[in-house]
Amino acid sequence: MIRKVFGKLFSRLVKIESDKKCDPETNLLKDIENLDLTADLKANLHRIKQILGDSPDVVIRTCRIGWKQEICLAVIHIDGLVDKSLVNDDVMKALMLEVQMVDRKENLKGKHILESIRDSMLPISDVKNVKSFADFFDSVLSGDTAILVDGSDVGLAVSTRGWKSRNVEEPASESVVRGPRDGFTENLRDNTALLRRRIKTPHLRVEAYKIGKLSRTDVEIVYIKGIADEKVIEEVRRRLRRIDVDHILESGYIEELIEDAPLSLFSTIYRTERPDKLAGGIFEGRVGILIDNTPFALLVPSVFAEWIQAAEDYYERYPIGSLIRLLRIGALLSSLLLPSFYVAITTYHQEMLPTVLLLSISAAREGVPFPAIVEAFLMELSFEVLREAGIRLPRPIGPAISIIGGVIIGDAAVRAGLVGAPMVVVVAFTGIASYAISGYTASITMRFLRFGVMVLSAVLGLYGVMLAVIAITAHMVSLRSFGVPYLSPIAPFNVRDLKDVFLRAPWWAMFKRPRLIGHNEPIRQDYFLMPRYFTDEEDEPVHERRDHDD
Amino acid sequence: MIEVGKISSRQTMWLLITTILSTAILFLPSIVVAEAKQDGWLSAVFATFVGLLVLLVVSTLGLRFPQQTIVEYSEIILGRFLGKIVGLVFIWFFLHMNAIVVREFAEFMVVSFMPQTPLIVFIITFVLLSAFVLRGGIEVIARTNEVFFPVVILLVIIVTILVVKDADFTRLMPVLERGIFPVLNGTIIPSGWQGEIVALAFLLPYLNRIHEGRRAGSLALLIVGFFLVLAEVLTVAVFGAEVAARSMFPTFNLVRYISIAEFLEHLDPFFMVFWIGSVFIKITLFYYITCLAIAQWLNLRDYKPITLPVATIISALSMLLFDNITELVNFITKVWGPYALSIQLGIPALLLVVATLRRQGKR
Repeated sequence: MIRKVFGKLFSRLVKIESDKKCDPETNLLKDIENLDLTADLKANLHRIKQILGDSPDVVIRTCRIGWKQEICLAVIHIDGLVDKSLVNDDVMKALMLEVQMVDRKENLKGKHILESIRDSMLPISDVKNVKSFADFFDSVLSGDTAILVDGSDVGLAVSTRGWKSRNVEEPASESVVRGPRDGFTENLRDNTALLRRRIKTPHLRVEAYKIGKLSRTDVEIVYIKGIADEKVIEEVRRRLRRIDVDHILESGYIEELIEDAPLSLFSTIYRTERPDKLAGGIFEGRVGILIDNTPFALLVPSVFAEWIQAAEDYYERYPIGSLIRLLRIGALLSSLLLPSFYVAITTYHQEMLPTVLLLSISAAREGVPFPAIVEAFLMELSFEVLREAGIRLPRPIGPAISIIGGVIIGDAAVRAGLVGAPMVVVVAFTGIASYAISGYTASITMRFLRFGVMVLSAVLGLYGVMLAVIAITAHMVSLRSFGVPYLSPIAPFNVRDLKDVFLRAPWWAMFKRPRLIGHNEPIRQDYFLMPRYFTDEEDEPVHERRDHDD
Repeated sequence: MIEVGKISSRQTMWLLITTILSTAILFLPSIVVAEAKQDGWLSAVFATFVGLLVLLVVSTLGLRFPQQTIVEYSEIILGRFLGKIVGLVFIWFFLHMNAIVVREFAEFMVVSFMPQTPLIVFIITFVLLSAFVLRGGIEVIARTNEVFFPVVILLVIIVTILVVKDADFTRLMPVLERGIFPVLNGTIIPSGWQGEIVALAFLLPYLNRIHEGRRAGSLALLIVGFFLVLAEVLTVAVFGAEVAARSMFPTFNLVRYISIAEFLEHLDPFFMVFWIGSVFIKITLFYYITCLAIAQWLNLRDYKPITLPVATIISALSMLLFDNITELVNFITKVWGPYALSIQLGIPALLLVVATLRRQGKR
């Protein structure tokens, strides 16, 4: 029902837009579409200049090469996107010197110059033929160097990509105490390399897409063939193909365009900037989506349990990982429910509190003019504002503001009699708890829902809280992410997969991949890998060993 | 098919346990103890056998017509006219039963927690939330239950452990003091509850492995039976038969009895919260079955358009059926058992006999 209403609303908004019948993008794209390179170099260059305009960063170098300088060609690249030394030292040198030498011996004139350059003279591994202007621009604008030769209607695209990009650094939004400290960068190739470094199986597949009519952003999906579910991969491909926006700036665009529940507060796609997390997901049989120009990668299918799993759980020994995870579940629940519980209990169910505690709470609230719910809203809202301001402020001022805000809102509000001290404690704890959840998106969702639950708790007490919990649960179980129920393995219940939800089972006990995700190749490893002493009679299981000669 | 979702046999079992147990554990002990005194637990045992009988009939029927619910195959068995009447009886039964459950819930909330809040508030909020959950179909109901069920069972076990120190099991003696008849008398009412297993007649076609349906149902009945016996034994052992019979919700009083380190006391609202969760599942399941049955009875393609009208009927009915809680309890004690059993056991048995004589369906 909600879906229908929103769908109608959105489509109505969209209709107003499309009534204007102006679609500049199609005009922009029309002049390159279906246009092939010709054999006439001058005509080609003219067209290129016409389309690219005379931007200063477009480098078009025409030269005459060969022993008698009879071969006309042009080298085209975008300044800043190419590795200058590579272009000069390898491409230009080869063209000007190598070709000359060969020409002197064999007289290239009249032969397939382009083929011989490509096949025997260019000392660069990645060279492609380009036939159409569309391909030509795709290559050049991604940092390739194009070579067009007069008399040939095929050009060469030489991979010379190289631009200033951020180094591999520790991911800012997901840091760990123990674990690898490299994070994805804005460079897609670096990111796939980071993955390849972790997944050396030859079955790792990378599939490339260009999405965005104007931005032509590189998007690549990554999975292990044989482990990932073919149906999921096909579904990812299908959903990526139907994206038809003009630009993609961040993985969030893709996320919103392919997710299962676009109207839900819950995100059904996991995003991370940690290569180890992405690799872990891919090993389980998930599909990763990497997007150029952003360090955030997407992972599907995603289940709710991932919100309480942090990378570190898997690196610390399992008892520690498990206990911390339990703590995190507590934090998740209290970030959703704690203020509502406080409001409900102090308003409706005072008998639940031990008498002494009740007395001290009512003493603290003496003189507070508002009901508990107003108190709660005041504090929660000001906390949210503080938090938001803390993020947006210039870095040096941020902490100062949060200290001042904390002191003023906490201490002064209590002294001024605006709120009771217990409420400050509750709100502060809730605020901190919301940061213990590993997914940032998750903590935002929880904070949103918290306000709804608070209203219900003020109206109906614990009954209202329970109504809200039922509604949220029912909504969550109805979600799916690429065919996988969102709340699995809790609902549908699966005992075996609970090994990685509330607790983190030791690695020697994780025999199998999650049932609904890795069912293609369910066995992860051998049974009975628990370390122990082997007596002399027993043979130690023989494992493949790498030779240590190297 | 109106419902495309499929549920597993474990989901079915959990669903049935929640459905039967949620209200039974709260209302039954005092009623049964009033009849059977300290032998109430024996009544619970007998009732479980009655439930198993219902299950046997319903599942045999269901396996004969694996693609259909009872509303659909009763038309095949008895012909169009009589079949429609049977369908109507079932629709009414589930509507009626659901209205009673909603009323029980609302009365309990008012009596025990919020005496100043009008009944209608609880009824409307609950039924509306039900309508929201219902739209997801049987899968969503089953999965929602999977979230709450383990917690509820865990809490029941915790309560048991915490109150067992106050139990005096000699209060259960002497066994069969007044002969077997009071016990049999006390069996009728819980049988009406155990007979709610008839819901399986509507769920069987949606099981992904229909042959496990009977096993799931019997396990559900046995587990419910176990918890009912546990509730009878504990209430009698802690309070004694006299007090248990006089209090309205003796199991709930057990929870109030809990005191941990003289610090955590009066935890009842906390338990109430989870009890609400399971009653919610019960109401939603019956509500769903009502809508499904009506849709099948009227040959509709979808049950969703009738959810809100049915919600109105349920809310209104539950308000109008009884004037107060005494009337409600009286109805449950005097009328409910025979009335429910005649529909839960009588009609399916009749259908089975006719189907066997006319050699209909798969065998």
